[in-house]
Amino acid sequence: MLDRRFLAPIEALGQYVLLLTKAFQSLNEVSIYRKNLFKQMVAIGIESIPIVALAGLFSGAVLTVQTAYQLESPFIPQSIIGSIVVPSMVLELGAVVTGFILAGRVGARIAAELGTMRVTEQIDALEAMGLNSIGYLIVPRVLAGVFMFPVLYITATGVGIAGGVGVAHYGDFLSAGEFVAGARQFFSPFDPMFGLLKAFVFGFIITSVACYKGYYTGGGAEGVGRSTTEAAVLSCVYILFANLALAILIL
Amino acid sequence: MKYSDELKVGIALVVAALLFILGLRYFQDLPLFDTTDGYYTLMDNAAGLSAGSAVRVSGVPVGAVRRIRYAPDARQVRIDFYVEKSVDIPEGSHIAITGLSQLGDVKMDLTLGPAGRDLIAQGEQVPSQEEDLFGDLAERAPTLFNRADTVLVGLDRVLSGVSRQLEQPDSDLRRTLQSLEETSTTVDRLLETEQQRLAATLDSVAVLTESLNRLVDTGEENLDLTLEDTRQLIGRLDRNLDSVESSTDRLDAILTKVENGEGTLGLLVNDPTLYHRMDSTLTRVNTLVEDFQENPRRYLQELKLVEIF
Repeated sequence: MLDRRFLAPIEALGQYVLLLTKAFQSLNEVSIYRKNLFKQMVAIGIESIPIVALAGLFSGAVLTVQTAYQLESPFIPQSIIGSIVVPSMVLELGAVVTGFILAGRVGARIAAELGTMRVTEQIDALEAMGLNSIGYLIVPRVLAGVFMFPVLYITATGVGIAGGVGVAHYGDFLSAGEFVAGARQFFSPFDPMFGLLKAFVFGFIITSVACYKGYYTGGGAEGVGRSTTEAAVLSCVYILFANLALAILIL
Repeated sequence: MKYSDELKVGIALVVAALLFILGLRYFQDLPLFDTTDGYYTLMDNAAGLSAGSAVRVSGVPVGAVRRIRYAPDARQVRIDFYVEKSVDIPEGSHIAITGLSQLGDVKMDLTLGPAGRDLIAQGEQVPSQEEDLFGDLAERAPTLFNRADTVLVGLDRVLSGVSRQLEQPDSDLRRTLQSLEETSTTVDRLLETEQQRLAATLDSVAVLTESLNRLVDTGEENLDLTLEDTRQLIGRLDRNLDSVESSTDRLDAILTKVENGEGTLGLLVNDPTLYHRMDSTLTRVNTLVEDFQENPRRYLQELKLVEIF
């Protein structure tokens, strides 16, 4: 029994990788998932834009106010606030805040959907009808995550920077011109690329983990609830790990 | 109106891509829609320059650095940069890195050559000019530090020598300090003993000053009077002097007359006959007096004033 407990995580990893392998194998069966893909893109991407924009707006605004509060020194030019807020949003907050919100909103939704299908044996029915259930259910969701997450990242970052500029300008911390001048001073074109890369990775992690948890749900309604929780929590945890790993490997 | 899912997704993707590209260009300080010209330059030292650093002409940002990499064959740093299409770079232009890398405020300043010359073609090299004042300073800093270090070491040695001198009870410095201290003590004591006398002196000086003051105050009227008297006196003296003058004049006239032998006095002075007569008279009187002394009886018998007997 002891070795079973040690081996369970490794077994889960293997199961996860196998599921994804099967999903990638069905990538070329476009006709199976094409219709579903756009539905998922709307559900995962378009419908998440308001909440992500809201989160981005407030993170940008709060970041600006708190940076201004911390940097209240006569020796530091006010424009430094812009130099801090913009790269912070671009590199970190735009991607991570979006990731956390989507882990809750999208991850839970996917896990609950697939879990219910599994529990009510709809997936078995699909298989019995000769449909590739992985290609039909998982591929469009993961693809939608990978494609739409960068859109959400751009939205969050853009709205966040706008929120920062707005608060700085109308809250009398520094003018919009100073803010942009400070941001330009230390802007590196690589930063948004890195943020975009993070967005791709986070999108993949959230949707694939949620699909895995939902697809292998067992144990009735209680199992669906457990899968949903685990999908949301594990997505967040893996986002954190992936964030650190990317920062160490690439920066 | 109901939009298809494909349309919604497509719009979202296009808008996001546009936002991304425009945002990138905006924060790189590039014109949002205008195209740019690329050039490159070679330098020995990139000195804190980074991709995205501004390229300026006469202080106005017109472009930015696109890429910096080391060119092994040229053994120099190759800096790719771009400027707005409207900026022409003629032959004779050069570019230099300016700003403080310590403050992260490094820019490239493009100095344009004379107008009318042939333009440097796009993608070609713009000559660089290294005017790295602060880099120079940074390079020279270690030697400066070394020199400061030696100075400090020397100072240290001096101070330790002084402290050694101070520690030894028989050292010159110590003795000097001691005698200085004694001197000051003596002066102190002297001042203490003389203090009373000094105070008394100062007191009497004060009193003297005060009475002098008072004297001056009360004497003011007297002085006025005295001055008035003196003035009158001087007036009178003046008048006396006038009369003396006229007297002198008259005396002068008299003396002139005397000299000329006019009048009694003149004759008296000028005519010697009176003298001669008087002389002879006196000689005779003399003989008479001598005779009188020798033979008084001769004269006294006759000289009875009252003959009683």
